Amino acid sequence: MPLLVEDRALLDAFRRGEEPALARVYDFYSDDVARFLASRASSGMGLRALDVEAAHQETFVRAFRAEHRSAYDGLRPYRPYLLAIARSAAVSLLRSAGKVARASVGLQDAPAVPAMAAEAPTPEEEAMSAEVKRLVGSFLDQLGEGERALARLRFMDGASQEKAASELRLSRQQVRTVESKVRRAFTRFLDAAGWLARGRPAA
Amino acid sequence: MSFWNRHAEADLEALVAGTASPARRRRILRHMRSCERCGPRYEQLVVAHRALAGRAVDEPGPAELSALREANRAAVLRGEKAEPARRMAWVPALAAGAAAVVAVAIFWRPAQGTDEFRPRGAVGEQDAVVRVFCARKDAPLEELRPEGRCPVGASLAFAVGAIPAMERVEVKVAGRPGEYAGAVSGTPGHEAAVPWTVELSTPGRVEITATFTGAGGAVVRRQIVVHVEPAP
Repeated sequence: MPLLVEDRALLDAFRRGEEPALARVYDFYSDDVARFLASRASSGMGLRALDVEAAHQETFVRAFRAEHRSAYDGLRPYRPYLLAIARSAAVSLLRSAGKVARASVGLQDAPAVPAMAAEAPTPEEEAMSAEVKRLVGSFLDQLGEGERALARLRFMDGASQEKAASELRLSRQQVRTVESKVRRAFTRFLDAAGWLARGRPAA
Repeated sequence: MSFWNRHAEADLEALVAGTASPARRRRILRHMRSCERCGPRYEQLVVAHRALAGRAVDEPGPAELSALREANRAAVLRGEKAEPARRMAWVPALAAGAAAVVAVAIFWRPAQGTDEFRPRGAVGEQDAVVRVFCARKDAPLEELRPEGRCPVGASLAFAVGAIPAMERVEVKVAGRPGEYAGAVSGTPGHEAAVPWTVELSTPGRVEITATFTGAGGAVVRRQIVVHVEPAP
């Protein structure tokens, strides 16, 4: 449901820059912006995780400025408007990192978000995706039944610790303990498989 | 892996799990962005966690989305700009005159807070700009500030921009063979890449000079010193 279009009181408060309204808009659209920034649609190449975090913050800081709040017409859905700002933030970030030629992409000339088509993954990306999936499969095979169930609930389904505890008949503290153990085991597994070192630049 | 220790591992996992406080998270991220070992390692770990969550490698999973949402909320509501990621905006302090001016001093200003996403050309009055980058294999370009460091095996890359009156540029690296000479196509804030790189084969101090020339004999020189360090 388009948040600001449906709720005129919220829209008015948003335009006035009232913090509860900004917080509600932020919480509502945060995940959309993060997914968009991580995808190829944001900049044609997808941002690294470290850059997603910075661009995510920059997107909302820009969007919540008075001029951008007042520029939103309140009639059309807010999401495309916000993602256009996100794309601008992503391109700025890539430019500042030297990954996009400064003169080659004018922000004002950037195509609107709906017009952008995501490119297909490169063969290298497909190979990387297949490899990491294989590693994840191998790791999950090593886990006990309870740990696998927890991994499914917490990592795949995004269930809260309370919900996971309820489903697994564990205390919340037990869930925290097992989850931490699984995370550490996963990191060690990836390290032993050489996956983490693959990201390092050649010496 | 000598650099790898329990402390670093705990930091990585705290980032991925979203359990670090915002202040700790900012501190760790600052390190990740500047550390050529930890940063890529973190990226690999994130990709693996996305796969563990059953997502594509470019699709954040629920835990990553939640961590990001919580991490940035307070800063967004305070209107804070994202922290710079070793990206430097620079401001030359000497404006060249109309003719025969040689500027040999250069001042750089680290990008902080509000400058991070600002184009270079908006930072100050600039007539001629040279930017120097360290290009490591399999790593993003890193812009070098004066006295910056780049390892043996990497290459130096350059971008230049100037006001229209400065038509040509020569880029030289003292003690290294070759040079680049050509027209200036970029402008300050929209510098264009120079189609010439210098491979770094020996450690030491390196002086880079860009000499811009224009109609009427105007000359503007920009210099920057960086250091080539032994390969890690």
